[in-house]
Amino acid sequence: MNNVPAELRYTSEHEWVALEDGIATIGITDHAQSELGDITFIELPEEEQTFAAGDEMANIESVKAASPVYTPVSGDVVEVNGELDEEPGAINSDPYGAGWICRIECSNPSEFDGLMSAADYEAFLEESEE
Amino acid sequence: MGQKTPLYDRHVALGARIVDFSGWDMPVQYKDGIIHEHTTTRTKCGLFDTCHMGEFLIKSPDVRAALNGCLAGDFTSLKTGRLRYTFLTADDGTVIDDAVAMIFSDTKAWVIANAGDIAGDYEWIKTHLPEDAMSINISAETGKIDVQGPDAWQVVKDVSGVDFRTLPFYSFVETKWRGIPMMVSRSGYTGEPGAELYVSSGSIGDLWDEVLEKGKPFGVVPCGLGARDTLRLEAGMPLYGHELSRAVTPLDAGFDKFVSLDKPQDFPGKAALASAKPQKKLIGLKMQGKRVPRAGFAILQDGKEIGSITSGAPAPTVDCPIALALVQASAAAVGQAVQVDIRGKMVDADVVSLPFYATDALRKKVVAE
Repeated sequence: MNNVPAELRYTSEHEWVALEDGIATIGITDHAQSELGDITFIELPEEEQTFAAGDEMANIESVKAASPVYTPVSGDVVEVNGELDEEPGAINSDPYGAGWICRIECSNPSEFDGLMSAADYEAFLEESEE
Repeated sequence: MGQKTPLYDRHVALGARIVDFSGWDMPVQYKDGIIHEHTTTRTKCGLFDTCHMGEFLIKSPDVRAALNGCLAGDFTSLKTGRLRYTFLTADDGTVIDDAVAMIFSDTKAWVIANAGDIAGDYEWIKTHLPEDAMSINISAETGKIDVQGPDAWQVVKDVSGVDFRTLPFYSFVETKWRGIPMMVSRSGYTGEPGAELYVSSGSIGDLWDEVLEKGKPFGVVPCGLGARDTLRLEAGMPLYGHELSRAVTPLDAGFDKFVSLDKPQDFPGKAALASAKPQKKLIGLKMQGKRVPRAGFAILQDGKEIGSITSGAPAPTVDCPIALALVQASAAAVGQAVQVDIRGKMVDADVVSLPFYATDALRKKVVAE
């Protein structure tokens, strides 16, 4: 049912993370976008903003509700997906691609290792559906 | 697990996301999402399950007088075959529920109430009817679906044989469908021309299937409560628990024309409403930017809090987020600017006249061919 790419790491708040050269790319999962429904706006973080893991870094408005997005890793925002200002629906249509939210330079790369693997996240989804 | 309408299994089979609504397991949206359902209802035709709503049969030697004694409106001159929006008001004039009353004859009427507290509404009405009136809660055996949108008349005509465009707005006819009694009511909760169809709850599934089948050429889509909410919000229509509640009177919310203080009958809240000076008013807001005002968010004018949002959403047909709000009666005139506190950010909004969306087709009557 759910699209859960094997190469990514996941959180229980339904964010995904890809790590490359110490830079974490963050978005929300296919499951999360499906639960939210049509996304109409995202309040993006700003470049150079500093977050600790677990901080609210963005807020997604769907038709029914506003939902916070928490950063899974600590560090400075180095890039924000400004395309989402015009096309927030990209999070719905391509959550792991064009729907990425921001990139953070990890100040504590070991946080990444503590995140769920794809298999763990799939098991987590199954568990929460029961 | 909440209560289920007779259409529940069909919603699941159609891929609906099910949510709790006032104790009912209802579809909030189907596969293609709220915006698709919303725009399809505005441009073609949407189908809604409204079986969760309550229906009460009332019989009395003078049913209009009986209704006058328990509801806020005046039904004295309401013709047979017409319906009227009205309120159940408490002794202090605040709103217990909003409802619609339908006149079947001089001695028979139905009251259609919200799903939130059907048993409570029924007991309340029963208590306030005159002694010569009888009432039955027929909610469980009554099925109801709404067919709404510019092409709804064709779909309803193909299914029922009734061209509702030949009926006045807010009127209904009794007919037969597959040999069983059916009512076609030209009314709805979307701002679009459309009908509310009633058959027994045992047959509502077959009727739903037929509307989807015969609606295919017109692009009909099933719509959940999400689209129902954004459609009614654009049309400036209130939702009980948001714009209306035990904290406001119908006069606070601007529904003076649905409250009769002149009719001879007393009704609960009449004295309170006659002496009340509305402290609040219901306003419409158009937001600047894309941030969405949600129920409960504070509204400020000149730095002072004047009230709060009662309903807010991105509005697919209006193209900016919109909201209804209850504010101090003296504040926020149409054309003025206010700010909405959206999670700590003060976002500018314009006070606009209601509704946000209207179409001439809603009330337009055509001559039968």
